[in-house]
Amino acid sequence: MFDRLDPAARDVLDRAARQARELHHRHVGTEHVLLGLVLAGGPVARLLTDRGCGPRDVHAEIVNRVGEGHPQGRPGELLAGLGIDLAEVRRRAEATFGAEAVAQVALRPRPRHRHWPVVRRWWPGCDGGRPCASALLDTEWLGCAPRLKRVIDAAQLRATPAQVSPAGLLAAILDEGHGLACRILADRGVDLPGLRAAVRSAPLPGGQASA
Amino acid sequence: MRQLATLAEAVDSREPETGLAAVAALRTLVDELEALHVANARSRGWTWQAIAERLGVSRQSVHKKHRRGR
Repeated sequence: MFDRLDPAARDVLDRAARQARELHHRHVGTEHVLLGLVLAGGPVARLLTDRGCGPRDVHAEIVNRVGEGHPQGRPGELLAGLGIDLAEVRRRAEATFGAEAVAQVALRPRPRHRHWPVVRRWWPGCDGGRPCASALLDTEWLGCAPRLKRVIDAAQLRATPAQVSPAGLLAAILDEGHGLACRILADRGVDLPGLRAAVRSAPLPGGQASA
Repeated sequence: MRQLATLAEAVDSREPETGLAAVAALRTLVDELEALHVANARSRGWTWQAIAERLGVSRQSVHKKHRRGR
């Protein structure tokens, strides 16, 4: 899936997901990736920071527009509230069926509705980009906003056969042009075509192939 | 002290936020356990009909939910 990302771009997405979790959002969207890009440092972050989009600015814009979600307990904590000892349930399941079978079941995508076929797994346990959880593994996965999925796919397609760099991610977000990230940039007075040109021409390590 | 903790929990679960999230987590757990047991029964050669009877649902619905190679 997101297999053609270079380590720096992976780091950006990791940061984006961490920020989404801290905001108690259930999806990762272009706005979180923008925040991840700014937080990751390096030439791309400098391009953005120089245009008045520092980490604090972007974070404030996201809170302003999307708000903060509700903190949700992990499945283990929630089930403990019902008097269920999840660790014990898992221990018994693994003793009976084996750890491998338990992990297999927990990681299999589960459509929540019979009319939503599982088309493609985006990341473990996640079907069609929706956020989902495994009680047995006591884990929750963030969803991936459809637009972000498209943006990353486009970046990967353009970067072939090279890997996508952070510059490639930003270029794809700007080219798609309708995400929350673009609206945040535009509303902060950033000249989007100018930024796009800067991303393309800047001497970014590994960025030329994708930008 | 112990009673206090129990009371706090009881009050806490009156909170829809926690109660609903707990039910959702429980449903996920049930789904996962069901998948484990159905897979086990199938590997032992149980028919969908037999599995469905034990689960108290129709043969079609259990097959739809658990068949492989979707």
